[in-house]
Amino acid sequence: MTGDPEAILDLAAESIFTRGLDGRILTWNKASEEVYGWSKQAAIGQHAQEFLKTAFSDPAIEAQAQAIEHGAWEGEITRVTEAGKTLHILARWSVRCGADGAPLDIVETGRDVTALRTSEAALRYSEHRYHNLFGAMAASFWELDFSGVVRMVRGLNLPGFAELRAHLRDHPAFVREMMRATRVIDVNQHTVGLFGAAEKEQLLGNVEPFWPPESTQDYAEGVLQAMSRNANYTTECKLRKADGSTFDALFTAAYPPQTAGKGTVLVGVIDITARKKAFAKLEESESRYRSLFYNMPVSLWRMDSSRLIAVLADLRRQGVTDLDGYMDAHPGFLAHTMNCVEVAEVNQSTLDLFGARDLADMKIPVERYWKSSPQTFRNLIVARFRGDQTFEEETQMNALDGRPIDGLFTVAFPPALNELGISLNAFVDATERVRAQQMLQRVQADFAHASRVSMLGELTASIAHEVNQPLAAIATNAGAGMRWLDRPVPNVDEVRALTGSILADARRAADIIARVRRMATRRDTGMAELSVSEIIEESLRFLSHELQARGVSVSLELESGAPPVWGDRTQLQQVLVNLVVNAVQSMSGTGARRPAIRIETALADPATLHCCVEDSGPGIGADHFGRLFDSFFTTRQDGMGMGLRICRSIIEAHGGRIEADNDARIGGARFSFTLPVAKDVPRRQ
Amino acid sequence: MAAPLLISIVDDDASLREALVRLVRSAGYEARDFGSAEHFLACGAVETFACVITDIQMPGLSGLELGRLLQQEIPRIPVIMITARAEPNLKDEAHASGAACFLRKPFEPNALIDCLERLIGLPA
Repeated sequence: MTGDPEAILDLAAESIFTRGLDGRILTWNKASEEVYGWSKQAAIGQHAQEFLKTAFSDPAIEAQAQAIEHGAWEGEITRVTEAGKTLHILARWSVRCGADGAPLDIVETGRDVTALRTSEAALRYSEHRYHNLFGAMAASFWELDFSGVVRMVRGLNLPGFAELRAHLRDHPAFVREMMRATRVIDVNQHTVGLFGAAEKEQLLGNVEPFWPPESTQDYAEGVLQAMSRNANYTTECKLRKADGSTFDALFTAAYPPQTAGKGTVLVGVIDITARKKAFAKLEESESRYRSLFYNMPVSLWRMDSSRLIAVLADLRRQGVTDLDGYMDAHPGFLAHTMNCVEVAEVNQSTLDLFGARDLADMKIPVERYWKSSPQTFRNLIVARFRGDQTFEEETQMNALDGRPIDGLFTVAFPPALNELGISLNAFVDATERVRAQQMLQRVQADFAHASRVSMLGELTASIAHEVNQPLAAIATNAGAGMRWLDRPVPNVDEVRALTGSILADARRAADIIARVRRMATRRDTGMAELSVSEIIEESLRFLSHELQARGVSVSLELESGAPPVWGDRTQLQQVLVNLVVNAVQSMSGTGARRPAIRIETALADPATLHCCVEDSGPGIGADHFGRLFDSFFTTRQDGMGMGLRICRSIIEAHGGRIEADNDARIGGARFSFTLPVAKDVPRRQ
Repeated sequence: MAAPLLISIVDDDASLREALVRLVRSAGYEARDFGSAEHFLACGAVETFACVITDIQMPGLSGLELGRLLQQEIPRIPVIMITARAEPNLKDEAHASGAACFLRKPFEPNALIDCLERLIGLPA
């Protein structure tokens, strides 16, 4: 065979054969025998494409291949071996010409890429899997020549796999050397983008630059997996981009057995930075949940309800639909369900509220927490059985020492938690809330009272004047009576008339005292049908002296025949008196203008009575509008700032609204309020 | 026999006004009452009165204004001022406005009669 020009081809690792222009095989090298399984003798003379059952992946490629006469062609085809196995062949055909330029034959160089295609398919499959898992993430593919690494490993002459593992662990520099021996054959376009390379060629060296020091052992593990002939190796590790920055990668290497000897490795890299971030967020939210859970100022419980869920599911299987009825028929069932729930975790508020030192103290039979209100637990079970996702009830729970605690008990058992057998309970201690509410009410009542008293203080002169009037009349009449009686002939008729006047004035004084007392004392609201016109007139009578003293003229335009409102006489008087006193005070010291107050009532609609109190003062300052009705807002030095606040409370409690503007017809401020007419308000018995 | 001394009573409070009329009559004087200073001044016979008893706080002309007016126009008619107000400086104000007597309500009926007797003498 020496001198056979074709003999040299037998040394080639790739399949090389020639075929004549008629398609028949002329030469067939050793590698061709290995790839296709056909011996040289069997192959020579056969029509190559028929003999090897050549197929093209699509007709366009076939057409190109038919035009081979024009030079060269390269493409992928499938062929069938002697054993009947289909191969993917990356073939390169070139036409050899004679000295005269006429084509002689066609040389085909073929590489079996079946394994590559298979592992690529596997990678694509895993990409698909991750694609589904982590959303749209294109994969970066690397084709690596691993043969240098294989040689290095062999050169170590280690007896076994464990020794190799130890060596790689102990010699990171050697691992880095292996990286440098790992050649990059090809990468896909996505790799260029992912690794931040300017162009593909930048990546076609060795892989060492892409493995940051912290990932050295990940690479070493990849080598070990390749040596142990595992088909795949997947790990999450840091990889390095061209600019030196690192990113979180899902690294997958496929070592198709067919290419193991040749040292070709296909690697897929997926950027999972986003997913890592998502995980970090998840961990963060988990820790946030923990800190929330532990530090919430509300008693929180995580319960293990898996046994309860099983018991309820069992009941359902038995055909029970009415759990209430079932419990009535099985009195022991409630206690049983309580035994099926365990305290898994509680927060600090719970420990404090229930008098426990730690979680262990809390892990007692649940029924002890429900000694006062087992019915609540029963309702909870029924709600749960019904498929409700939440349950809430105002109830009593018992502390460890048995002391009952009022509160609002809330449970959430959404399906997601149900599957884990978890339910979350919250217990809002009402004692504090109730106490706070009571205190708030007390403070409010005190303020209202203080405001009434302070208003009365402002009006003491008026009150004194008003009471003095009948008192003076009584004293005067009595004095006159005495004189008539002291006469030698007492004038009995005159004395009788005087005594009648005294009685009338005494009654008048008593009425005034009663009215003042009604305003000054705290008492529950007495709701009644009231005429707003009457209330306005009464309030003005109360203030008549004050108004007169300050020369304030009052005009009234009251809706005649306005329907009554449903309200508390004293409170509504208080509103009117407050508004009128405010109006009077706003006008004092403004000099030039003639002080006037105008009060108007009208039906805004058949169900609403509208009343406004206007003055001729300077109006409300623009910067005061927003705060007028706030507590402690006052423009007066000695004002408490509660008057308008209380007016609003009263009007709102009556179902009306109060507002202020500067649209008075007589030039100053206008306070308007509405009250629902009586027929629209539900009567209290 | 001289005509009975005529007293003018000016007060916007009807019941006190009537009581004052009865008291003054019980002491032997004659009295006419008016609901306001304006009514009194418009009666057309102001100079026929021997004395005026007036409330200070009234709608329209106040007792103080009435006192100043009388002091200026008919100074011989003494004015007694009564009030339900408590301001301490009101007494000085009343005297400055010509009040010969100042009483706070409720007052001793005898104190008023004493005042009258002192100012215009016993009734005839």
